[in-house]
Amino acid sequence: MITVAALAVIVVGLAAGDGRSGDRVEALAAEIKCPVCPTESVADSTTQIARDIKAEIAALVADGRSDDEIRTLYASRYGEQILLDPPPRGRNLILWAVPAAFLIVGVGAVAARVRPRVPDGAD
Amino acid sequence: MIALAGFAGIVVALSAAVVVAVQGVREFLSPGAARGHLRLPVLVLLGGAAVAFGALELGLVVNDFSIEYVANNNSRDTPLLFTIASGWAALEGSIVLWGLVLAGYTYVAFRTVTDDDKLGAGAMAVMGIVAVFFFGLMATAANPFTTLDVAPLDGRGANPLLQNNFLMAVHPPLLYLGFVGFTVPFAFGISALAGGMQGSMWLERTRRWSLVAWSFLTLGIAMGALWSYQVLGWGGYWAWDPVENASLIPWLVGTAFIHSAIVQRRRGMLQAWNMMLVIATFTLTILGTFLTRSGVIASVHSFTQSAVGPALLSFLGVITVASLGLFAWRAHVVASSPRLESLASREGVFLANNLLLTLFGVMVLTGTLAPILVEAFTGDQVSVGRPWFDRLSVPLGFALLLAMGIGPVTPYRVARPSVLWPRLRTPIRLALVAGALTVLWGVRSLNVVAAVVLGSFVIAVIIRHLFDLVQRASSRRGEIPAIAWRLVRNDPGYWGGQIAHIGVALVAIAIAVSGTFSVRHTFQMEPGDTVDFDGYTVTYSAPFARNDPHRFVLGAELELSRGARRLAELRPSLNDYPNATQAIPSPAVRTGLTEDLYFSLVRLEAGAITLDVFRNPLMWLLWVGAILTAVGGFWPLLVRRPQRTIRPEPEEAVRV
Repeated sequence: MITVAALAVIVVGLAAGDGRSGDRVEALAAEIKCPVCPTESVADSTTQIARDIKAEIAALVADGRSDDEIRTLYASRYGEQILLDPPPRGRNLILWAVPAAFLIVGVGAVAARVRPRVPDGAD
Repeated sequence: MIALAGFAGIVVALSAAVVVAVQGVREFLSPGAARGHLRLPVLVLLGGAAVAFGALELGLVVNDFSIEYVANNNSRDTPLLFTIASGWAALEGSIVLWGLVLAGYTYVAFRTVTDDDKLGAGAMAVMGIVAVFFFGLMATAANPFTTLDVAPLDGRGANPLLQNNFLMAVHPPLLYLGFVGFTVPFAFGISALAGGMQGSMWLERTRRWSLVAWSFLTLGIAMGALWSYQVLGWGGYWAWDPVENASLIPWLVGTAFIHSAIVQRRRGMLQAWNMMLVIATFTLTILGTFLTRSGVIASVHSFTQSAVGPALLSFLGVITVASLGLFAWRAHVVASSPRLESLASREGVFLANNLLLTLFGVMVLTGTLAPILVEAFTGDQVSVGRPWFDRLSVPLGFALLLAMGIGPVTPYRVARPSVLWPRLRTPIRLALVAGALTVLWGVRSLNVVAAVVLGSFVIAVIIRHLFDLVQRASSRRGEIPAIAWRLVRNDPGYWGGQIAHIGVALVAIAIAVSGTFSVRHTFQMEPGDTVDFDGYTVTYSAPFARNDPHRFVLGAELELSRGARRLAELRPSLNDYPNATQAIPSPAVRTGLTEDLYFSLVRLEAGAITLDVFRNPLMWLLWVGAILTAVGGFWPLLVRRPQRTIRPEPEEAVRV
């Protein structure tokens, strides 16, 4: 009873509160690399250029631009390496292919190790 | 004079390492007097390494600027603590520390070697070969004792990032104690593989060293994250930076190893897999050193400027090819393991754990290496950052938490629902209630609620299990703490693991909460200005400046209050070091039970400041969880069993 009630509260609560409504500016800023940093996003970096770009993103969002438009804008201005989440195409696919291949091989290897239960009355 | 003594130490250690390798191989091929033949070279190796490290430290402390390393990394004004820490803060010195730690581990591993000990002798040979590489590196490309014809009057001073916070002094030694420690299980594994020795003897003998290495690595990573938080002024602690990833990857694979080692020791399974994991862990520590120490991250094309990068890369290649070749040639000899009876068993959960952890490792490795390889081969640049890493690491983390909750109370061989369900029923209920309370509290983030549910599930399972065992042992109330303590002490392997699990669960909750609810405000203020944010009030009283011997400190005096209550006076600053182009910030962090208030000074010009204020919730939980995780790893070494029992009672109870 408690379990069901608790589960209901969690499901209803999470469904009611739209988790996606989070700050679009913050989300985009986390995807755009600060041009002078090795790996930090303009959301994380404390440099001035990162602050400027973040303010610019806020203006673009307020201007009604879509997320993709904003990503494309920065990719064309600074090159695609400005995107911290490389678009999954071409050479970048390796970033998805390697873990996926490992997962498939791993699951296969585990499955191969399982033998059917011996009929000694187990279960 | 000091330089000469230090270099002599390196040469002596190098020669001793050669003898250790040769004698190790000889005793491996025909054991008989391993102990006698190895004692002297091992002691000389340790002595030589100690002399080299001691000479470097002495050179630093007495300001012998005729030594290039001292001139580049120390100055008369550098405070003593940082002068000492400079011994491992730069490339050459860090390799000397590496050598000393390796010599230390070689010595303690040697102490377990007996005369007709094929396994131990082979392991000594492997450790000797690794030592030959590192001391060879010190004698040539990374010589820390090169001297200058004309000694400068003063040195350039310690690395400003080091001088800014003592954490940078403790982080590298902890990390190296972890990295280098994995050489011991690697060496014994390779020895067992080469000798075709079946069974788990190599794991039994290296179990404590794997745990020591893993625990130090855990602490090292945690200290690195704390340093990033305390010094860099960005309010965060983990950036998925290649240097951070370089330490995380071996940790993930090493974690898989210490778990799968349990399966082999208890059930005789996964022999070849354990070899593979220990080879991978060791190789990844070398890869991590290459990534952090060669400069390859800063620029693919500049790492050849010093010979250290190519040398490390070659060593990495040799180790990988030799180990995998040996594995391909010999693995069938050691691998003869019973198959898994059912996936619904402790072994099954361990396999899931291994799959998840190694997949995690592969994922981080791919994201770390892909930009470097793409640039090296095509000249194009690709960035891989937080959004990419988070996409997979968040679900993997949750899956790991789930396995962590179920695994420790799942019986070996076959887990029947009738056994498992009573152990999980109450924890599941508690976890869901905790999740529901979080939602009622107003949290609408799926990640946070999931972390709370799974984290409290892990902790509840462990506590219920302990409680259950205590109740079986005695029903008298007053005895409960004493019995619980006895249980936890008598089976330190199992309960150490559970302590670590509680730590990881706390870390997971802290990461989710701080990652989701961190807020940053940026304020421009003039002296006397007051700003309000989220119920707090900050007044910027005045700027201050201070001349320390080794730096110039420029900061802001702030007063923090909440309503009418004055909470604290804070002094974040920007520190100028003579040898740094940019000022290094010292944020002022006020840690509280619910959140950290983090004040980072961004700019101070003509009295006007730019101030970043972060509210980071539950940060203390992250540090406490990380330390608890390491304590769990050390637990079997911290508590001694009263006597060596054949099979401790708690494990029996688990198998019911």
